[in-house]
Amino acid sequence: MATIGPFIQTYGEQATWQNRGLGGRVAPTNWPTETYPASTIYIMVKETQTREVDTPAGRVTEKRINLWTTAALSPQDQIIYPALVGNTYEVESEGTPFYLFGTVWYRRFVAVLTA
Amino acid sequence: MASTDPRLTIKPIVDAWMALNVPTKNDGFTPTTYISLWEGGPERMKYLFYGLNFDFIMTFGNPETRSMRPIQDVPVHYQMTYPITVTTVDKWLGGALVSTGMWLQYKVTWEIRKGIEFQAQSVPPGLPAYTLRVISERTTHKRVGGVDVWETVHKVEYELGE
Repeated sequence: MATIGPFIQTYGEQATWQNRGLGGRVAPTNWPTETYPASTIYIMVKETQTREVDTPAGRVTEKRINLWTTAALSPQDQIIYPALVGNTYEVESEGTPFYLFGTVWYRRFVAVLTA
Repeated sequence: MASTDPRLTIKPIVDAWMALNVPTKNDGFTPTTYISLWEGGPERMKYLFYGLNFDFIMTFGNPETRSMRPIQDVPVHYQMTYPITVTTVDKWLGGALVSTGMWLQYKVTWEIRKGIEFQAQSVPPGLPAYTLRVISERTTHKRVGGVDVWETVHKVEYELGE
C-alpha cells in the first residue's frame, strides 16, 4: 500500500526550495546577510485564501496556500512553485509534522505569495 | 536635518558605553549577553533569544520628526526623536531563572541613560555636532508567541549642532 511520504514524492509537483540561511553581520545595521541556496523538492498544494489589501502604494493580492511535503522547511524559506518558473511563496508557519514510519515524516505548511 | 543618518551617531555611542558597562544577570555578577542592531532585521525574535541565546536586544528605529522655529511659515529646523527599543524575556538555565526580563529592563535603562549623558554633546572637532538627551521611556509587557516579552522604548532627542 502506498504511504503518503512516497506518494508525495511520486505524484507531487516539483518545486524549488530556497532554504534561508544567515551569514555574517554587516555594518551599520548589524543585520546578518541572507543566503538562499536552492534545491528541488516535491509538494502537494491547495489554495486556501485570497484577498485584496489596499495600501497607499496600490492594491495587493494576498494569496495563501497549504502545502504538504516531506522536506523540513522553516519560516521565511522560499518556495518557487512550479519549480524554477513559478511564483515565489514565503513559508509562514513552523509546519505541522505527521509521523509515518521509521524516519519518514511529512509536514503541512502555510505559505504566502510574495512575487 | 542631518545629512547623515543620526543612527550612525547614536548607535555607536550606546554600543561603546554598553560594552564597558554590561548589565548583570540576577546573581549580580554574571554579565548578560546582548545584541544591538537596527530595527527590522531578518532574524526572528525567538532565534535571537533562544538560538543565539542573547539576554536582551537593543534596536534602533526610525525617528519621529517635527518642524520647529517657523519663520513666515517656513520651518527652518526639524527636531528628530529616535526610539531605542530594549526587549527582554525571562531566561532559564537548568530549571532556574537566571535573568528576569522585567528586572533586566531597569538595569539596561540605567546604562542607556548614563551612556547618553556621557556623550550628550559632541566634542569638537568631532562631526557632526549634536546634542542628545533621553526625553521619555515607556515599558510595556505583552505575550507574543508563548513568550512574555518586556519592551522599553527610550526616546532620544537628537539635536543637530548648527
